[in-house]
Amino acid sequence: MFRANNGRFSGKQIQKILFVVVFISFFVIRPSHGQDYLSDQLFSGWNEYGLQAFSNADELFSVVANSENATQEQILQAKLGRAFIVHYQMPGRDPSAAISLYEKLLDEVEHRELWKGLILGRLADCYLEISPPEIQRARNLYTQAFTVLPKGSNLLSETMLRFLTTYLVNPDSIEIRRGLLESERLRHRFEGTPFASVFHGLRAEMAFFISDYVALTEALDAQYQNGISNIRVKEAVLFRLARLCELKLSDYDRAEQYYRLLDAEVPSSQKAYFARLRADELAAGKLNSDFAPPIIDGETDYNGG
Amino acid sequence: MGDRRKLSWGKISNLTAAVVLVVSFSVSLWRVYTVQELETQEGIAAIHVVHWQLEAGFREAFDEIARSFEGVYLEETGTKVRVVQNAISERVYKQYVQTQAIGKTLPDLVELGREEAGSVPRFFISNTEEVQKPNPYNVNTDLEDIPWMDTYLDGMVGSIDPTDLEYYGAASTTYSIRMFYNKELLKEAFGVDKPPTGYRPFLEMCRKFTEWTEANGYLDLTPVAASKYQASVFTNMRAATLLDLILENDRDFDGNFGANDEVFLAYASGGFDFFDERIRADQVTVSNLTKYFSPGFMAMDRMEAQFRFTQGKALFCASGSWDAMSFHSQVDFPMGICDFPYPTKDDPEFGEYVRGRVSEAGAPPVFRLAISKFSRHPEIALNFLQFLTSRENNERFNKLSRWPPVIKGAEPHKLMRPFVRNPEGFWTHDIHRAVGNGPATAIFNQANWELVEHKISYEDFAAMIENEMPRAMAQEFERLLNNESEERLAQEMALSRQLAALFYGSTWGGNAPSQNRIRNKMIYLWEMRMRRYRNSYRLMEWQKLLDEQEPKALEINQHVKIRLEGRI
Repeated sequence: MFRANNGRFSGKQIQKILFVVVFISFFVIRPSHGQDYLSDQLFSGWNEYGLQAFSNADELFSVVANSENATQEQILQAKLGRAFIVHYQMPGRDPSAAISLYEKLLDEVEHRELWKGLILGRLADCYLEISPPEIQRARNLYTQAFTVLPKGSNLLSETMLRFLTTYLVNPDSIEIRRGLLESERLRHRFEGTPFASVFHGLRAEMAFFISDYVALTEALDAQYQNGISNIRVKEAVLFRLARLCELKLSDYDRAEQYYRLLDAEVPSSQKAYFARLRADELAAGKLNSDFAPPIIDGETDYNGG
Repeated sequence: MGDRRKLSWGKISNLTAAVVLVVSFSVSLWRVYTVQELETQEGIAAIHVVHWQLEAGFREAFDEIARSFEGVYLEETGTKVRVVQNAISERVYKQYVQTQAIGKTLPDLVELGREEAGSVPRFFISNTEEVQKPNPYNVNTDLEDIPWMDTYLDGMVGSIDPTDLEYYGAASTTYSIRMFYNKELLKEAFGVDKPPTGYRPFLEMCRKFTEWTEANGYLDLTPVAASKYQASVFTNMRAATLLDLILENDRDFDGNFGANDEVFLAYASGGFDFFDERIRADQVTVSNLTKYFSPGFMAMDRMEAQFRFTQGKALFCASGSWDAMSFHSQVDFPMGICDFPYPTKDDPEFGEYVRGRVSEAGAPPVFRLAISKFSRHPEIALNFLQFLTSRENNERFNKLSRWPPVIKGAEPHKLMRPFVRNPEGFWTHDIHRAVGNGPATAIFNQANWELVEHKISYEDFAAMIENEMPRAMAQEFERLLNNESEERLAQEMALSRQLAALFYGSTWGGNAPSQNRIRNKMIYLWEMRMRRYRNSYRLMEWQKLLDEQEPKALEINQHVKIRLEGRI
């Protein structure tokens, strides 16, 4: 077909060669260009999703999901994006409808363990959000997700936090107490992880719900020790610690310390001035404050020891 | 003949009008042309800034700093730059920004703060990376190595957008609220040039001033120039009389009681009612003063009241630092500015409940300019923001505009010295409501207006609220549970976006976000989210109150219309 005539190509042959080159480059070069394009489409889809422009996001995900050039991973990502929209968009979120989408995706991801973990977590979220919630089913799904997510990954820590919240959704003190016990079982898995502070914060919430002030103080202290990023949360945690030590644990030395920490670490707080005054009062052995309701009947000196 | 003369006058006036019109139009055209020529001149980068600050002196101060920046930038980079400001009336500002944003023609720098919720990440460039680095214009100062965000009095938290938790723009000023007084009138009536600092002597001065005006026939003078708006401003004179009540009912020990579930639970459990002497002290502090407001103040407009003061018809007025320069330029009498005289512990009526003054810690940042995504010179716009918020320039800008500075260590203008916020003090809160703008607020406001107009006594005020509060609290509780659920779901949505970025970010090519940044955002979201499960706690506590047959709880329960258990 392309054999040269006396070592030279005729015009028609050159035309044919050019056609073949163009034809091949369409399939060879185009897909690589298409990959960039599809990556951009996916990024834009998630960006629009974050900006709550859900119809734009759905359109972009739809382009990728239906693209012949998209890889299997890209198609799955786009499909998950569309399921996220059904699940989370506001207004119009529909966790019940998202369940079947996630279940279908679970079949499609086959051996991809990490994907499975992500989807199982979202499926569990749905069961927790439907009315009435199917709490046990959600817990089972979160537990399944634990088994497939890599140890030490951020996704695993985040999923474990979600698992713990299942104990907070019912106004039932027995259930919350169980949650607190469950959290003890998971405690070691959070040690040294970026989510440790949040984990202890959740434990503090559980302890507060059931008025377990010893556990509450311990959890808040651990939350503080593991680092709090939001300055307003840090302000609240330090103030709570100081007040709990003062009012519930009668540990005035620690109360003074937390007041001083609040004054030093959140000086912009409206409570910093009170904290400074109260710390000085406690250091001077003055239990009943001039600036707060009395904590004991009559004034008894406290020597700070 | 007379007709002809009339006709010729008409013609002359028409001709004059036409000439004036043509001249004005030509001048306008010429002005537009020269400005455009300057901006589009080759080699000059124009930075357009849009804001709504029309207060006296503000634009002039901004211009001066802009000229200064142009000089410094030219010296540093060899590039000519022109900063052009466009101040737009507050009334149309929001619409202007929205239409420009949609049309992709937003200027380089836009003042934020007009309900742009949700649209900031779409139309503006985040400067999260930059705020964590030192401001280059703070070089050779003790702020040289301090991250830009930490040079702010508020730590720049006011620049964080709640939608995507990124920093957008930078504020360059702040504000506080104070009392203004007419020194001339004060001297004439009392022979002094400063008002008393104590609450009772201040009230006494207002009373005596009324007597003095009556005795001298100055019937158009009033002690305090005020409208309904100023009545709210004068709430700044309240002392911290509610602190004990707040701490007694603070169930979670975080010190915050007011506009939350704790108000509902405390009220339902009989922890407080509106006959409480501490609430009385809080309310009557202000109503004691409204006796000396201009007659019919409730029907008066804010500007009308301020006009009375600047015309020398009142001894006192109250407003924010933003009005100081305007007042200063409008009055033709010596004007003083002072803090509010609040009740102290030795007050004969409220002293028992006073814990001190209310703290002014935390400087609310204002005049926040953000860089638009359609800026042709985002780097220069960023440089300008850094320049404007270096300590030296922030001090200079705020001294020129007579606003309080927002950068640590920046000295205010002497007119602004009385506006320096006093962080020492305690706190107070709206203890009459569980949610914002709910029925309890409506009931409270209605009773409060009657109280400040002295149509009813405090006892009538309390009875009026008590009568309606159980129904209002039932509605607010329902709304609180709903809001909490909705808020958690909204955060869930934000968190799901971060989950996607965590999981797929690496596949987004050049757009791949930093994994650390995503993780930090997730932690930040979780720190807020973990408190969004409190509906279970609220329902457990509510059930306890019903089980214990708390009378107030039973009364409220009669007005509960929905099944509360489903509101988790």
